Amino acid sequence: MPFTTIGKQFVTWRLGSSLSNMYISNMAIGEGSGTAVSGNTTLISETVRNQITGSPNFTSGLIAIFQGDFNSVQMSGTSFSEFGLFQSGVLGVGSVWQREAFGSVVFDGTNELQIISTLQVK
Amino acid sequence: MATIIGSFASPSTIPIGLTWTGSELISSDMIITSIYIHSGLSSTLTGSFASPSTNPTGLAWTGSELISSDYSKDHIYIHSGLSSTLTGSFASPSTNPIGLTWTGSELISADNGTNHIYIHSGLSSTLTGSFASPSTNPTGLTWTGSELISADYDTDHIYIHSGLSSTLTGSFASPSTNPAGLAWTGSELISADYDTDHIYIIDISEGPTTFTITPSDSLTLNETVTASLTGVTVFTATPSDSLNLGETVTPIHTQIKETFTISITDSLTLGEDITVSLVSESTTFTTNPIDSLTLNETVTVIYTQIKETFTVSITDSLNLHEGISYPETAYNIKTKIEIEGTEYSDYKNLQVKKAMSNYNSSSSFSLRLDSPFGRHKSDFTVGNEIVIYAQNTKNTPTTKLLTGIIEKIKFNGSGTYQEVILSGRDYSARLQDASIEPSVFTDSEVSTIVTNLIQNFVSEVTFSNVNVTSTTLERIAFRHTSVFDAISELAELSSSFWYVDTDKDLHFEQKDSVSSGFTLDNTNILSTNYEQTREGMVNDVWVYGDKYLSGYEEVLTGDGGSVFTLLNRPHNTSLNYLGSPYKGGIWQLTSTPISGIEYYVNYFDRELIFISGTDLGYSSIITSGGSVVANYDREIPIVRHERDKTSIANYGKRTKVIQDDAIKDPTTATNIAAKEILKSDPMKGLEVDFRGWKDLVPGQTIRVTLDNFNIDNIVGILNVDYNFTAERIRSNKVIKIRLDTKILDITDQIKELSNKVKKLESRSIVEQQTITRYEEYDSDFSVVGSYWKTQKRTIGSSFMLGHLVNGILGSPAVSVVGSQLALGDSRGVFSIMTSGGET
Repeated sequence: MPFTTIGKQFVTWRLGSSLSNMYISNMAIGEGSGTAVSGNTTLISETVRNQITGSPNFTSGLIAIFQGDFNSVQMSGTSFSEFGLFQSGVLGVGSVWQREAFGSVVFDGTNELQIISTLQVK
Repeated sequence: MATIIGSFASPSTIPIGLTWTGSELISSDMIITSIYIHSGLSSTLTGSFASPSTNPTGLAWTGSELISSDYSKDHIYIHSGLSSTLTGSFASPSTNPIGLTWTGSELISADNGTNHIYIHSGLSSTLTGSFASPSTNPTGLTWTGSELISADYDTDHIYIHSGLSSTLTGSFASPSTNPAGLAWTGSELISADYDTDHIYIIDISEGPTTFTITPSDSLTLNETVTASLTGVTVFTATPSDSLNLGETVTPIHTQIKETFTISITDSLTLGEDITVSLVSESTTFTTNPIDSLTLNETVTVIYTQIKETFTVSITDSLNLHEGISYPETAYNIKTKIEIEGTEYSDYKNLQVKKAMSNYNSSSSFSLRLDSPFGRHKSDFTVGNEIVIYAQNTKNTPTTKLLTGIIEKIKFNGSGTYQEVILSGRDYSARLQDASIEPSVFTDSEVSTIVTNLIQNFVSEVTFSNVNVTSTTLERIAFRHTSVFDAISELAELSSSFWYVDTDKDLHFEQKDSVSSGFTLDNTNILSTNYEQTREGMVNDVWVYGDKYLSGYEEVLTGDGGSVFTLLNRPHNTSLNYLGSPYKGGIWQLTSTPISGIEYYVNYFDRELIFISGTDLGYSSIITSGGSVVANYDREIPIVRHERDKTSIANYGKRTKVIQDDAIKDPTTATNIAAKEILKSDPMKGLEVDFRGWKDLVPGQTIRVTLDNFNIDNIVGILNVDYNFTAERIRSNKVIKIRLDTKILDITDQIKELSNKVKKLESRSIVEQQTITRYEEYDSDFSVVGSYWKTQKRTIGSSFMLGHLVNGILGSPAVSVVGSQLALGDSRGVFSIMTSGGET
């Protein structure tokens, strides 16, 4: 699961500056296909972007856990096949810190989606 | 003696068989016909498999195979490891096999049809012996390494056998009314009960044993009551009349024929109970309050066997069935080992050696663990940190005995037997392994040198307990000396003592003879070796340091002769005659004088020889009455000599010569000579095996009283060896102490030779030289997507604003699941769709 090169660049900048808003605060889903690689800067076909639910969970050392929730209205008719973590909350804006892709799952409007992503620093 | 220290629910309702693999508990259930693998000593299961037949009972673990018995098939089965696969089976000795255990070489089985316990020849149906069970329904069996323990569900008791025999050394009530399976973890007894459906963890170490004295009628003053203690069971003494204030009851511990006395602190009425705790069943102790006990009053109990005094606090008046509990120090030793934060309890043997010299203390350890089928094959890495806790306590020990580093990992294996041996040292190893780059300290107080050395040359060790000393050194140089040796030398020069504590902090403190307040004598010493020798003693010391050249001038007055003898051997000689320099040469370098040369220098005979002759054609001899000024450098060595005349007269001369170019000033040479002459008495070494537990602090002293060796001295501790095995812990024989002065052995001579070679090799190293250093660092920081999951749930009949179906309220509209739409949350639970990543 790639933490993207641009994501690493963001972390690097944060090491030596006080850049505001340079942190993960949003999660997006999409319908694009294609293996997730560290060179990804966007989702292939982004459909919905939401603010992460609550605050990240930093309870365990060197671990940050992000939760994203998407309701049944947003998911209705979606062929969900990728998601990513973003700083920006605007659909299609900004670079993806982390992206994952998998075989598509079709939502027919009777279900809602929850994504939990755990990032660990080693 | 038997205390329940924990329990948990059994996996099912009829737990019958139990065994312990060294790291996991295995249990069987007679009705469910399953065998369960627990996560350690807990109710959490990591797996299970079907039993070979319909009524599994006893379980045993051979180290590589599980053995199970079946009550209905009357068979004993050999499993392939911890699995349902069978590699063999044989008929049980009789028709109701129920308990099983493995001694390491033989299978033991119990049968509650015949009420017998059978000894098998290895893993076979052939019997080599049998004996009657303690009562009529034997169930569980387990083997502690030296004793068989059996349970009986008729008497609801657990019995301790003398080895593999019907003779009992003790018994105690089982935790509940139907004890079945038993297992031994190495330190605790595990018992399953199919009445309460629970598994109990029982401490049967020689901790406090409780017994009860029940007067059945009134006692008179000083009346004696005799009571029998059967093994470890509760017993009752029956005084024949009422007890009065200050009255004493003396029960006799019939099993080991020892007597102890209990003081009654207030009047007792008929039938009233007094409960006291006995520290060890082989111990005599006396309580002796002289008047009534009042709230919070303290009673001092003298533990006569090892001459220790415990204080027992009474928090209120004694009431019926009330007990007096003993302090933590009365309990057996417990250990805990953590490696990189993970606890390991399956060790066979643990040795910790604390070596204390006159000026420092350091520790090492060796840990031996069973590793069947590679249990620990990847658990340890060289460099892992190990923390060893040890304490005599009822609970988990919290006192650190050693914090160190694993330096060696060794695997041994033979057949199905495998073990791993870990060894290493405490964090003083970092000081032993670090070398000081050439450096010199001038006019420096000792503590500043110590902190400088740690800061610059040692990692992972802090120095918050380096105390300021009253010693300032004019000059001290180090040329790739180990930091350990350098700090020891500084401690010696400043009368200090140092060690690295279990929190990895260096202590450098004023050395003083702190008494441990503890006495070793024939009541707590198990064995003693005492030795005196001349080896290593010194009463005549010579210290040779570096040599200096110092300018000198002599005026030579001519008397017609050609040879002048100087006061010193000359270096860099120059002569002046009437302001003109003379040209010099070396005596006997050539057979014929070289033209132009005016004098020769004979260094060893301190002579200046002026030359003349017909062949030479000139004379350099100083005319009578004339004078020549001779300037040269003379050699001044740093030498110090000390001797102890009394010691020489008593023991003969023992000379030690120290040659060390690193000694650049007379003060250092004087200090070294003064230190060596302290060894002018014969070396004394005392080695003691000690019974009990004592947390000995580095640098402390102990009083030793042994009449038969003519010893009654306060001496310093040199070494403390802790040797932990199950047997030693149970019998409180863990500590060996070496005392007094260090008797030199071959390792000391090798160390001295090594130091000399190091000094020889480092002679040409100049402390002041500038060394160009290029250092490169590499560190790693990566962010990895450790784990992710996506999950969904149905919205059910919940109202969803804007939803095409669930967003329409009212009849006849229905939800996506076909039922009437409702306000409120009737969503389902999340189920994972996809997940990935790594942990």
